Amino acid sequence: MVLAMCPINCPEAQLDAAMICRLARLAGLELAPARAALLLADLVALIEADRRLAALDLGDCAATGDPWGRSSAYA
Amino acid sequence: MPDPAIAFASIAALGARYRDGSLSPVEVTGLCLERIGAHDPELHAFLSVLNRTALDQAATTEVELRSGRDRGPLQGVPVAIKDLMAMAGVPTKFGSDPIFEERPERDAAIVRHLRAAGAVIIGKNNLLEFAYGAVNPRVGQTNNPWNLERTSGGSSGGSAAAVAAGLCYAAVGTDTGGSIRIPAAYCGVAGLKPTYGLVDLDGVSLLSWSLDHAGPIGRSCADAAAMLAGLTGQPVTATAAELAGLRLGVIAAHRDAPAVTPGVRAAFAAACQALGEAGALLEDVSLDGLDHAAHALMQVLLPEASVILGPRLLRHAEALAKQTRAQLELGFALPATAHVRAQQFRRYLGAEFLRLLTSYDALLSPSVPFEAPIEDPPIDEASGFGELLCSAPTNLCGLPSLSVPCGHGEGGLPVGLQITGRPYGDEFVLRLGAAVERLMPPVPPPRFIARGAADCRQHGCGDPLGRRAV
Repeated sequence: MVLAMCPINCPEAQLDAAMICRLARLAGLELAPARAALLLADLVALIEADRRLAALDLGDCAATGDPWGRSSAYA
Repeated sequence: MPDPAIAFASIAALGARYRDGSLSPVEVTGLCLERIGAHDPELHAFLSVLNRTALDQAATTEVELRSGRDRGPLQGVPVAIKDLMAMAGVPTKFGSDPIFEERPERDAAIVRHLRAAGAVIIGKNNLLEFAYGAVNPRVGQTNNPWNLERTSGGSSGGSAAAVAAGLCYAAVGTDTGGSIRIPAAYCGVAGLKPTYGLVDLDGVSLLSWSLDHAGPIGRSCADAAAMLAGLTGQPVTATAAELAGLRLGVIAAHRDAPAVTPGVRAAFAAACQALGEAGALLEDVSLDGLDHAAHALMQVLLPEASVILGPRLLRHAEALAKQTRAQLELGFALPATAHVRAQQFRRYLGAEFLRLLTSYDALLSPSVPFEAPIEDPPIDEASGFGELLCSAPTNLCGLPSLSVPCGHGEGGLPVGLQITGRPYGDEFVLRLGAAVERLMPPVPPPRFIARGAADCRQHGCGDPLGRRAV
């Protein structure tokens, strides 16, 4: 199976105020389109930052545990 | 009323005077309350002042000291807490609109620890709204005691300003992206973000489970150490570290960042030079991925804050500061995968820090790239996350990180040196900070209360902060 890129990973092409409203609604917040439009630039920047993290290819690096990454040495 | 200069004494000096009977906790608490009355209308560092309960607490500790019940260094010492920490029967205002005010029935763990140590909690400090980066216009910012037209920083600005201005002897702040260290740097005091999890956050209004820390702010590292000992119940002292032979890594990317002003760069360089001349070996170091840290912090923070504060947004969005509201809304729209990837990244970056900290005893950088601005800058892409540049990485990685004064910038305002250590190396970080204090010229009381400094010199107190001049 080939995974297609999710639209939100192409923010410059897909992300707009309507999509922000849908994302927020799915998470439990009703947003007026005018307010969603105010968030657009910041959300695009965050998603682009997330793409840069994805490009680091952190593989199975743990997402939990001690924040310094190696729990055993400082238990 | 005691000599006004005593308002700037060290906690150790105060304790010695209590124990030789030449000064009493009630007198000193009265002095602090008087100073709050005189100076806080300009500073706006307190949201609640606990006149009666503070004097009652002071009287209790006075009786205890006279009867030989010694609770340790904080006994009878007036301190303050950030107004997002629960104190039974006292309103918690969160630096926000009164509609969000709460009146808790039980104390936060921090308050319980301070009470057990005999500290006199004199009031609750102003903060940026819910510690989330913005001033609520119904509350207003804490002004900087070095220049009342500048901010004292955030979000623990009230705590740092109160300590710097001699309105209390130490305070407890919280730090999610730099909120202890930034105001400490702006106000010329010592502020420690301890190791993640070291200080119990029970009863503290949270912003991010992953990034929140509570820690001490003091006029010296020794005072901050006394507070940390009180907050943790563990012995912590800050005798100056022996510098000869220490290996210190200088985070070059932070020192050389475009956001760092020439004055901050010069003060930082002078501190590094002094450390080198005292025998420490300093080398430039780099960390892979460091330039992703500020965005990664936001990817962790935004959704967590929106889950925590979301109910307030849903009920009273219009009562929030514009920036707070927008950040909370933004957190609802960020995909969960961005949060998880940032959680991965922080551990990757943490491993990078640990790699360096196997070769170096501590890492150095400026605490903040610039001196206190007029207002707290927004934490967003457009601002370049400049204020958080140096502090955010250690919130991600949970490492102990201290801001200690290292001189003044081109605007004549204080500049902070940030010292980052190994997990649970909090005491060593404070000891290294104490060594920096010995190398740097003493920090006088802020200019707006210069009369206190003059009184101090007139009465032969020497350095009003109780620091040793070199």
